[in-house]
Amino acid sequence: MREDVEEIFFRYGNMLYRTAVVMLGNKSDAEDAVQDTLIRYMEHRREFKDEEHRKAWLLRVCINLCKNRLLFKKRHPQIEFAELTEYYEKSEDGWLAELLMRLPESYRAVLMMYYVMGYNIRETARILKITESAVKKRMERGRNRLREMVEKEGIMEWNWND
Amino acid sequence: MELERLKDAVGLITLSEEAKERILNLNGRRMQIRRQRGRIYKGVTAACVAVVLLACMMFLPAADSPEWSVNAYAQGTDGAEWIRLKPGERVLLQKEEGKEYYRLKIDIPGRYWYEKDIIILGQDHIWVDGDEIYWLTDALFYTDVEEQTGYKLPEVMSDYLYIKILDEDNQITDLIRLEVSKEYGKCYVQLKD
Repeated sequence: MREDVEEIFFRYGNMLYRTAVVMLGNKSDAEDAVQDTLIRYMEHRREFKDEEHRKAWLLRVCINLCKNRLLFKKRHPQIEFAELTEYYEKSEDGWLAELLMRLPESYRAVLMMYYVMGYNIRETARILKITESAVKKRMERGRNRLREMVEKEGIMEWNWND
Repeated sequence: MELERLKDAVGLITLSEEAKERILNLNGRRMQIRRQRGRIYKGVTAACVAVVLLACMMFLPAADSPEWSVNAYAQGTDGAEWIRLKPGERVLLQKEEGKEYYRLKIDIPGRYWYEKDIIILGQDHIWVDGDEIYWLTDALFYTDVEEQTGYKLPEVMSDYLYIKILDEDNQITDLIRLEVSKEYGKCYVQLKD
């Protein structure tokens, strides 16, 4: 069993929590997912090559646990996005985050890895265990879906020339 | 780049102190997970035990099956063939090519004796000869009995042939009960349970 779990939590807790919140759209589920990730970490016996390997492993485990929870939530729907608005002072950011959370789970994970975590396409593919072309496709579709939603909602101005 | 705003939007999501405290209380959650896993393991174990028991139930009768057998030349799935009779299974007898009678073969390794060795079933004659049983139809009357006597034979008839298996002390260890029946001109045999 690993003794450094607290240190890991203070280093990566917020990163895991953000990922889980975006994936699940629910604070308490996200907290459970982070907690389960830490427990998996404690029980993980293999050594990590370096810190980047450890971080990618934690993210992958967290995303997989979120996917499991999403499967459960499909049978027991409970969307509680409203409770998350407490994080946002600027309404546009709140809307953007909400639109991201409304995307299908596969698009959400890719956009999260690329735009929020700052991983490149190759790294995103490695962490999510999908091909690079799948990352690119999902990213493109996710962006398009996000643009459609922004245009439909008409809440904010968006520069699509990027 | 507008999509960079996603980073800012999501970056605002942070753990509260209460949430941190709750998450770091790992022991309670670990116990819960262990209990869940325990339930899964118990379920899997119970399922495995059930499968093993089922397999045993399926194979035990084969292990307990008697050494003796009664075989009849009868209608099988691929036509007429020698069939080992199973208890409760009723088979339609067939005549071997060039033979005028139906035939059954008894295969009993030890000693045995027939309680009766001849059965008259309407006009049919069933008799025992060593480890073989013969069934000759229309054996008793070469002319039609109904025309001769005016007696109408029933369309459905049956009787039993008993074979008693003995041990070294001449004690009966097993009893074979073989039902022979004739229905609308067709001859059947069934090993009774």
